[in-house]
Amino acid sequence: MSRAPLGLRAARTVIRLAGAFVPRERRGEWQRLWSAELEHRWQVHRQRPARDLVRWSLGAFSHAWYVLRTEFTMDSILQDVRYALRSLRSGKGLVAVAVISLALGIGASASIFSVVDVLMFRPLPYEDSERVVRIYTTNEERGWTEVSVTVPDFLDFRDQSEVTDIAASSGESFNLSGGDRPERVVGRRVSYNFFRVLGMPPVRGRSFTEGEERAGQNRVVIITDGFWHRHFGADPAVLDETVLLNGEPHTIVGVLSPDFWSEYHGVDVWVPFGVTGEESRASYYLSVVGRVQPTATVDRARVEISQIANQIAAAYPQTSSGNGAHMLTLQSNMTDEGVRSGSLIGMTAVAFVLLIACANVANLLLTRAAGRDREVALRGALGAGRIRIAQQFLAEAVVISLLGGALGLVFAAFGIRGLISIIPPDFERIDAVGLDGRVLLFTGVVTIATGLIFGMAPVLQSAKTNFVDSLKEGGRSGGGVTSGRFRKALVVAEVSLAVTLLVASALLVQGFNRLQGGENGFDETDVLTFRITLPANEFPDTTALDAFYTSLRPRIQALPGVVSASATSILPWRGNSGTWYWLSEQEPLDSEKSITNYRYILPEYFEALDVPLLRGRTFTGGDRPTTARVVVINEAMVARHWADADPIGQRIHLSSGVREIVGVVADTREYGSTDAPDPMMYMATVQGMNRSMSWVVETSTPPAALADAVRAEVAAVNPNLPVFQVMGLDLVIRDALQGDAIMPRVMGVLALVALVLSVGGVYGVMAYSVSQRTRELGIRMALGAHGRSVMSMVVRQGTMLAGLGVGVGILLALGVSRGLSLFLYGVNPFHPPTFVGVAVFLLGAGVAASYFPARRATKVDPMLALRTE
Amino acid sequence: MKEDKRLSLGTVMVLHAMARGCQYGFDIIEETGLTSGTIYPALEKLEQLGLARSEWEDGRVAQQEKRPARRYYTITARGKTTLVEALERYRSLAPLDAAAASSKPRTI
Repeated sequence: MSRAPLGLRAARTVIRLAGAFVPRERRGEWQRLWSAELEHRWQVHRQRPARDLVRWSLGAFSHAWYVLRTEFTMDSILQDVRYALRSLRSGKGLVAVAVISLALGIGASASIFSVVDVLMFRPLPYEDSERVVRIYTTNEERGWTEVSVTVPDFLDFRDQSEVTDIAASSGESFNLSGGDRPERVVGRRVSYNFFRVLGMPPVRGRSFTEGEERAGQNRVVIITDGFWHRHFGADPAVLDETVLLNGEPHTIVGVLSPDFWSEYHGVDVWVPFGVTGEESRASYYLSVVGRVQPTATVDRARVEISQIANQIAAAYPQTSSGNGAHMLTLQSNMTDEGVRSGSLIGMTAVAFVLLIACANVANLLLTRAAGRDREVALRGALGAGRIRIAQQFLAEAVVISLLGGALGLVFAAFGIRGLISIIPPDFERIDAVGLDGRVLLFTGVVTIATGLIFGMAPVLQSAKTNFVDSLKEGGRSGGGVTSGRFRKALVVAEVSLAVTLLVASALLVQGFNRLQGGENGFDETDVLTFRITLPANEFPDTTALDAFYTSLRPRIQALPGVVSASATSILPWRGNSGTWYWLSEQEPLDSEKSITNYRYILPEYFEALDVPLLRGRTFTGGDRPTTARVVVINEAMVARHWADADPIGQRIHLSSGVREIVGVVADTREYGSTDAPDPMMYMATVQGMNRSMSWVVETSTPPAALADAVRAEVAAVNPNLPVFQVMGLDLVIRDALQGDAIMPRVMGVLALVALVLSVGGVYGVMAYSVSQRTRELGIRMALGAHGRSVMSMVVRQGTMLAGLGVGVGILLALGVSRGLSLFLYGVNPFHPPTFVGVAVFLLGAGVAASYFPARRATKVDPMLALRTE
Repeated sequence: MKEDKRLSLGTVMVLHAMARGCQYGFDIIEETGLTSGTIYPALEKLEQLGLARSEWEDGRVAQQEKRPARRYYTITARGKTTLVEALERYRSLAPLDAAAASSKPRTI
């Protein structure tokens, strides 16, 4: 047989392809028409070029589209929605479960999204915010990647850059006086162009002038809108008024907009730097921001700033050798690794929850659809096209998803509030989180998408229904074995996702416990802390400080219930302080000095926190301002320099003088990390100028009960000193850990939701399967099967499902748990007991979920079961 | 009949071709110069509106001529009325003078 010419064959293929889009009921007729036309045309116009024929055949696509389109008309959609509402009303229980499942999934997604959106996606509230950049000092040799900038370096950057307007700031708190009572306000020192760089100049008054950045001319202040309202009742005449900051008069020159936003939380007053020109090029403390001019790209600006940094390094090798500069957008700088990773984990977790909810609802709809086989078949027999029937199911699904979305929004309103409450208030931009337009849009899209996803399940099944069989009296329900398998696969998927979430949340909780737990190297449980700051005018020198500390400490020690009393310059988990030091007798270049953390402490500090002394001695009352200067170091410091030698008696040089090592104490972990502890150096408080100390009082009674007694003792020594930040050390740590508690809490809630939904899924499928098999079970029992064996059969099947899900879930969890490592703080992401525990737990839940349907199965009355059909 | 008012120009042309005796989709393409992607949906629409009718030709005829059976379309009585009304409507768009014609080149 000779083959048809190419053009003809191509045209036939095109028509066949287009035919795939035509609804099945009409496809035969449609194909026949097009083949007839094709042959007709072929006979009449054999001589025409083949491409004419192909071009002609392409029209089959628009015809197919037309046919498809006319099957879905607006009228029929409205009719379907009405029908959906009516038929949903008849299955209220099922629908309610479906809607609540979905609402949980959608509510969780919307809540997490609201936070992730603000933290990750929403641009900073600055004009052209993608041009606002951050600049850091880098130094490869010293391992610096994001170090602050020195004042002289900043000035050079600003003067020499041609494409970036560069500003700087540093934190400083002020004593505000002149009102009814003295107050501590949070402020910042800024360069004169700071507000220009952010693009947010004051709305009242003016910005700082260049001259006001000089020392002596900087007695001016710009205040925030909030401060203006609180302290001046929003009085427009506030400009040119004077406030006393640290006892010095400052003139208010500007008030910021209520919309003003900066990354520094809680700052109320902005004061210019007092640049003297004497600032050190070795003192890195400025936070530097820049605005890249519209004429240049950020990449170009980055190259320029690196060049300037290299010139500085070459010009001042003594201080800056090896230094470079690192520029990145402020936006990416603010979304650090923790935020990025946490956002990703959170969004993945809610996607899992949402999928579980979808699988659940799909199963419920399948159950419903199976019960309606006859109805569907009848409608089919009466002439409803399969597309029309599918459209019906989809309409029901969309109605359910819309109800779920609406209820989900209500859940989200609570969820968002809950999330905000567990996120510390100083978290970047957390005040912008809320149920806003973007969250609504997201919820809408998710709602529709989920409706379409789970709505497909009954559609696919109805496509398989054989109308004739279903209409026969006593016929088995449609879908049969295949649909059963599909439903079981859905449940297996649900369980596996839930297992993954449970493993993840169990690991995160362990990580958090480890961070929080007793592995700090000190005991925080029985310690009361409070802070006292001594004013400089009353306590001008170390003698005065020494007198105060040596008179207060014995008084507190003598209180009933006090075991030991001491003080530290920085409480554990409340921050850090580092200093340069060197060991050689000759002072080396700055670039060759090392850095260690340090604290000033009073005697008995290690006793109060139960930190073991390993060698030598700790401080005593004998260490006075006038006696030999001594230090106590920790093991990490010993490991750094004296791994094989005796550190006692060695000398450490600081810029304030040389000190001798008299003791070694165990390492402690004092900030949010379980990395190896850093070197630490403890010095005696009275051998330095330490006016602000945090006291630590170890007690044998509940610490909080001592607060009043402590205040009384302080007042007895000096009645004018306020005692503040009075709380247990455990609370200090809990506050510091608030940020780290976010992930375990969020994941815990999500895992719980996943667990409930998936166990509900197992229950639903088993209950359905029992109800479908009433007849079979009846026959088994009529033939002599015991209730026990029928029950164990059902439970076994349910457990099989759960077991499969657990197996898949464990594999999945093994795959994803590594991604949690940032929040695990050293917990093994493959921690076997966690995996085993979760597996056993979910298997147990699976058994329980199939127990109730199984018990119902044993109650089947054989005679009744056989008669019902 | 509100649908009649919605007849597109292409559909009217198809109706017009049928009124002049074209019976097959393929003939109508030749007659009107419209693309196949316009013709077949238009035929389908006309049939749904009751303005045209279609039938498969007698299989024996096709067999004798050794070709597949063709489907032929005929215009109904209502189709003819509608066509007259539609042509009337399109005629009212015809240019009033040469100036208007030059600014509206796409009229029939």
